[in-house]
Amino acid sequence: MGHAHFGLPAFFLTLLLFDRVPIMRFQPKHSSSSVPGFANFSRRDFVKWAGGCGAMSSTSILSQLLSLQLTQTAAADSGAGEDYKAIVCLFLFGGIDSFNVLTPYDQSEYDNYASVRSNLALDRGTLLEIDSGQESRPLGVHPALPQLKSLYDSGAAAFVANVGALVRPTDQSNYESVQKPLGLFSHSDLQQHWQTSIPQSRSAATGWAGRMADLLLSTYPGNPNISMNMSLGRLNLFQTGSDVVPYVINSNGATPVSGLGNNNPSDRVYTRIMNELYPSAADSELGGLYSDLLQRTVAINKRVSIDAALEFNDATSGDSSTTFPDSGLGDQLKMVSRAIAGRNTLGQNRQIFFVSAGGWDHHDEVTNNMANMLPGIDAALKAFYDETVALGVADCVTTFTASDFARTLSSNGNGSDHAWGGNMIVIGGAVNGATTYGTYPLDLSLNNDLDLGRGRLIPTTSVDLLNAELALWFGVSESQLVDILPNVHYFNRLGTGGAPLGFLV
Amino acid sequence: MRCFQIQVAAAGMLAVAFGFLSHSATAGTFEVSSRTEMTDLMLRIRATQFLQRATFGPRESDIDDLVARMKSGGIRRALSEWVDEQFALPASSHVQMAKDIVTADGFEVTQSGIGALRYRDHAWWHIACTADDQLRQRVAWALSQICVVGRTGANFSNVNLDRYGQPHHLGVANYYDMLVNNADQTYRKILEDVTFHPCMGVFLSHLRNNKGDPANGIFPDENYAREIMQLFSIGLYELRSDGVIKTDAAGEPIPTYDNETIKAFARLFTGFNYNRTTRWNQNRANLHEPMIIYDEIHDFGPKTLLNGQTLQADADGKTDIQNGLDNLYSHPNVAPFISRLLIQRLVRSNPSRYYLARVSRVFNNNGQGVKGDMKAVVKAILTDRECWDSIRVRRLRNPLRVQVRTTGTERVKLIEPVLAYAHLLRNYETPRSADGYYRVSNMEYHWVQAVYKSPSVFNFYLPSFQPAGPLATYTPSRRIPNGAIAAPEFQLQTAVVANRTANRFRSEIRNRESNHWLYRDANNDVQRSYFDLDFSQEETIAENEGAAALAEHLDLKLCGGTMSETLRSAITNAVSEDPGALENRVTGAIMATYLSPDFMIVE
Repeated sequence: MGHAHFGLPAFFLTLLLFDRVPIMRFQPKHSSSSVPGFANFSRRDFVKWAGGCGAMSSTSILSQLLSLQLTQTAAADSGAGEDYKAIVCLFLFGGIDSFNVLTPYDQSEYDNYASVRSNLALDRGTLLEIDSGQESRPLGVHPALPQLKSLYDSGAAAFVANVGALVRPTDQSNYESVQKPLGLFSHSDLQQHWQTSIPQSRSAATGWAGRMADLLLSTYPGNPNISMNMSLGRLNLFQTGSDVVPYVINSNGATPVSGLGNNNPSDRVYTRIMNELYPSAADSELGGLYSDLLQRTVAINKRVSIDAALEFNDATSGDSSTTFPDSGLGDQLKMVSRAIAGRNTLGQNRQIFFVSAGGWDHHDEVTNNMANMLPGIDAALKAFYDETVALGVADCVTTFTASDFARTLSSNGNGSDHAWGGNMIVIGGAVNGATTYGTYPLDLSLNNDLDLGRGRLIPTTSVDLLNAELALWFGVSESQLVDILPNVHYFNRLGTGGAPLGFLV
Repeated sequence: MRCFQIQVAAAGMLAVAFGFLSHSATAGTFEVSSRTEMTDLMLRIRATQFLQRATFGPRESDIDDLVARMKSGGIRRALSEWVDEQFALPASSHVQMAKDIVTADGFEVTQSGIGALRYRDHAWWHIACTADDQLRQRVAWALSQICVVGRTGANFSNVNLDRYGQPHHLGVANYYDMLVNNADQTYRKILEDVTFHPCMGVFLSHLRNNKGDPANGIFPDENYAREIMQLFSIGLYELRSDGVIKTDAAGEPIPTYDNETIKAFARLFTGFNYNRTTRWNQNRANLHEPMIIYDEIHDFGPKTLLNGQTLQADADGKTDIQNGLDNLYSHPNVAPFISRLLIQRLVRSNPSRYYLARVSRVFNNNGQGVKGDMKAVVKAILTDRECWDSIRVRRLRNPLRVQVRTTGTERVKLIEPVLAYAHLLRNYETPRSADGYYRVSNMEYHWVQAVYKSPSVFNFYLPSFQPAGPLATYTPSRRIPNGAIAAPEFQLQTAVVANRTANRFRSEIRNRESNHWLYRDANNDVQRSYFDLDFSQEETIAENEGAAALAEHLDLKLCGGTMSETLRSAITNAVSEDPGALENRVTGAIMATYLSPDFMIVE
């Protein structure tokens, strides 16, 4: 079936002729001289020419699966596990009050902090003192994070200070005129910006980890059925690329198709029919069954989806040696550790995970809520780090936090409201720890240099630099960074040999 | 370049010569006892095919009615009158329906702890499942996937009342109602009402778009200017009326606009703020009434728009914007661009050049000199001579029978998840509550596609998305413009979505009960709505006439007569050979059918 029978060259084009970004999936052998109009466009050219990465689309997992089947042999030979790396994004939904996660400690800095935060200020005596690693300046860690503090002191964790979504370098002098992230201080917009790294747009259809996975796919083809991007609980923009979409699992693993193989009349009939409809994912076997190519694509998709869930669950069965806390985040990170442990069975030497913990939008009772919620984060992150040590991959796994925004330094009575720049955590054996990167503001008092009012701080470090650091470590080349992070060159002088921030590279 | 054209031509000719043989597949054969029965069956297949496109899922009673009308008045006349009657029905309102269901529940629309956002979903599903104005609603659903307002925007999820007494969160339902009300108006009016709708103003940030201060490096927001051209009206490249991309002397596609055009339209779309405000920068949200124009922040400078036309400033900003929309609307791309998108939502993923050219012609002129008359365009789409050719029906004798063949790949589409579920609801499910409201939740978890929740302005899928797999190496016939087959709906079909969809259909059908998680009440108990599924008709057929008759029934009811012999015999064998209780074997067959390529690919 198809024109191959007629002996014509097997070229084909996918041109998104009506859309912003045409996608050329394969470079056909003869296309460069034979296709009118599109000969000289690479896909990346199209992206640039047509208005930037924001226009790229997510695509079905099939595109990934099928193009990867071509390179399965290569994957088997690449020795998964020898060159292994994983990134874990912990998204703290709601906007964590992170100037109470990382606080000033020096007495005069603390006094400014205490005055602006008034009844939200943490007692200096309870703060866990750390060395910022910059000019012997001390900083304070929330008292409910003792294990994070230990990881920091031991060199396995670092902070990135006052980081946030930016389109261009921004300060008070250019604040009115500079292009700023859309929808500043709104949850949905800032959550999206952290995930896309394209904060000037609401139209971005891909996230930076998705674009990164797209780029790395040819080098690290991994598993043909299971994406290198795995998400706990939800599809997300962060991991959605043009070719790669997240494989969504939950704390118990992948979602298999229920009922298949069950021994009751309804499921017996169901199973028998499904097996006849979807005997295999091989095009050669389905060709006789489905001459309609859309039907055949459905059939491949169904079979692959059924098999992938079973394969994933098979590869991740077994238990961890570390005891994880009995919490939502603990369960998620435990599942992540199982997927890391199963990396060789899965055939993956690059993995990106997305986990989340919500409920940080503390317009009320922020102090009590933080005190109650942070111990769970502390315990889960520590258990996860310990498990990566036990698995012998601590140096290969880097975890970072993200959150919508930090919160107003000033109190609204009992809580704090939406702000902008905040303090994030990175953990892992590869992290150059015991250091706080970026610029922790020297003076937090009201109307300081960064204050937009009520202690909403203009970020001093773009999230692009945090992301760039992770991407370079993960295997992206410097010249590729701009394809993942289109604004990054406004913040980083690429090609100078220095690291974006230095916590990994 | 020449080489390429010759190859395409050769492939095209071969496809013409052999296409039918290689691409068509024999679907079901139906034995009949009389010529009357034969005619009825053939009309039934056509009526089902038509209603699959024009409603949220054909029900047997609707099919019966349409068959009767076809028999008495002829097919073309019956369909034409059906379309006219549908558009003449009063429009069902989602805002009003949401309020009605809130009231029926004994709640206030602003009450906290009742999951108030769900009422806009309930309203949509109740209307899709029960409303008489099915065609208008189906067209609105298509329009909502062209002029997309996404999930995020200030106050889109705010359950409080605005200062004028309307709940903010029903603003997106108001936007949807605007599309419903415009489903029989002109596309020019749609463009205007979309432009002035506050939800669009919030979503694409032309609300309070200021003329800027170029001397100080401050320029108007370009967001809406770009998207209205790229997505809502003309697209990226100049098109012939049959959808073929025009090329210049060098063989390159010709962009419809450049960055200067975007900047000019960005200056055009300045001056908007919420209705009932008194100052241009007053932030009093009102998502229910069209935005108004503040001339003091509108850019009155001359603007070079499309076709090299320079728009001189008019007396007021609103007229200025109207003139700019006229300029956009006069572009020859509007007809083929929008016609293709509508055909994709209603009929098939890949309209041929001829089909598209005929619809474009009607779009450009409804016969009375009106451009973009949606009634005429929709009728042209649904009654075009080509739109039936995905199914070929033959009469055969000895024994008397009807043979159905499908022509496949170039003439079909993958069903949208929402439409697949609506089919199940409309055919088998009844709300257990006495008031009959379809309190359905948004179903985002199961298949991502949820009303009001497009992840971005690019909808749930791109119009030219092509999944990897066999389509990637397929060379379409010359009927298809631009040499590539699209199958947009596959963009949603990730491995996760495929399994979750299968599990949802299985559990509802198997349990003969559907329940929807609504909210947690004050005691932290989950409140649900329940539906009963009724398969008594299928059980009776299986009991009295056997498994083969059940398969034939499911073929006509779920697959419009296009079920493959593979599925028919699989159902027949599995149902007849399994020793379990009949009622359970029947549900096994129904769930497999809903999850089959035969159901999911719509001819």
